[in-house]
Amino acid sequence: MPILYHQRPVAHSAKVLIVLAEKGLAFDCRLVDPPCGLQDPDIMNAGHAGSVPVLVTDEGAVIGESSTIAEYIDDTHPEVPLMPRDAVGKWRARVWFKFVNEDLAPATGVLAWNEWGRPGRDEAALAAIPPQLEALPQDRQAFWCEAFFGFGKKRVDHARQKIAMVVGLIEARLLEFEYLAGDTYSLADIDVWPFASVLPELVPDLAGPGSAPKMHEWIEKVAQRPAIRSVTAEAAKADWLPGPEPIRWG
Amino acid sequence: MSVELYHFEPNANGGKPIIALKEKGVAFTSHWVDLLNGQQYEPEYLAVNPKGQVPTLVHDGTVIWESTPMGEYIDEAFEGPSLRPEDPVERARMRNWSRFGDEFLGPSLSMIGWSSFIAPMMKQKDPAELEAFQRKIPTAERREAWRKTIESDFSEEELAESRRRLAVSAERLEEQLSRTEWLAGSSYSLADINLFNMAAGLPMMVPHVANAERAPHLLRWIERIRARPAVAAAMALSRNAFQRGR
Repeated sequence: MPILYHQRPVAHSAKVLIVLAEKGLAFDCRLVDPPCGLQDPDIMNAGHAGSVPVLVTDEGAVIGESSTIAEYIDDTHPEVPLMPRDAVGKWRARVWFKFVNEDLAPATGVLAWNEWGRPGRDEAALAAIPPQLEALPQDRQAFWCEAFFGFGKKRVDHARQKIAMVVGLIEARLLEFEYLAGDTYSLADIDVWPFASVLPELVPDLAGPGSAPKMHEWIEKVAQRPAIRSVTAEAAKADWLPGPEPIRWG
Repeated sequence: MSVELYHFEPNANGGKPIIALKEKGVAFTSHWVDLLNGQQYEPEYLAVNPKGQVPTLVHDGTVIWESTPMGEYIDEAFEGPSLRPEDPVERARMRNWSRFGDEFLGPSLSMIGWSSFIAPMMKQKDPAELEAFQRKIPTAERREAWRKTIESDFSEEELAESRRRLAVSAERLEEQLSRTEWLAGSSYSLADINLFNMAAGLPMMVPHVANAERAPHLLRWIERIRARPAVAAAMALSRNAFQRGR
């Protein structure tokens, strides 16, 4: 049975857990403690040190990055297809994967960690972070060091700017189509929803029902799906972590 | 069928769809967009792509942007040799290498490139012209990127971190290519196309790692891709004599 290492049903881990629930697949899902609970040498060597989710296939292949894992599961378990059928719809879905990875996820991670994740941890949990950091790659260490003290104004402002941009894109797309990649529910919705669904509470001025009515309707509609309900029933705000590290330039 | 591609030099992101289309044998109309003179922010181009980014593909009226997802679109929408592995694990590896290029290697390479090549070029321009250029930029994020470049506002720490990441990238590529012939595994794929142009700059930028002794597989892989007829045809679209002749 494939093994899925995850970090509770929020953010990137939520996506893959939702895909499994939508398809009715039972993988061996193992919870990993942040920030770098993955000490298994095979996984460390596969270049995914301290980054989850990670999938290990029956043949032992290690696959990281949630949107890639989601597409892999869809490629190998096509019974309940979750990618649009046409090339343009697939392209739209993959553009959303990019917006999530590069803009929405890092921005939401910064704000949710400051608001919920960091305050939700007691002194002992916070004190446990620095000793674990040595196992992380250098760039991720620096980011976690910043997170340890709480992100500063510059990061927060930048995150808000990114979120405003992505909310605008979501709103525009939903004026055109019922779902994010077209007229059917797809991996695009699963990719965006775990982040978008917390925005109305996290940044009400940018993402409340008044400023993003279509997005709000879509959040509620997707939330009613049995797969989403079952997976997110156990989600807690304190489970939010900082990350991934924002793209630096370009 | 109408296929039009708006692009700048066939390097970095612009090179990806050009090589992919050439590999598939798809004839297309090439529209040169002069990034360094702000043509991407002119109303004519913003009508095609409101974000003012290149490349943009227009296929029978459908507008496709973002070069990495564009590659998979090209492979799906056109006949010709497949550019994605059949095996799902290799396909996943193809996608993750492409992401690595977009999120780790590409931004570091581009920071060094902008600070060492584009910033000096912008310095030659007339200040009034530069101001007009900056006023045309439609998004706050791009305005900030250009401001940083025009003012050469890159700190030594961030440039050093970029060089460190380039060295890490060369090591990771070498590690993969010492185990498999191509980045995704046994077949040439979009991962090779997407990473080629970025990786080709590594021997010059981080010669202490990307050299024949420490990265022999990486260097051979660069040469194998460069020798492909589709890649040579893509490079021939360059307006830079150095690039064309490589």
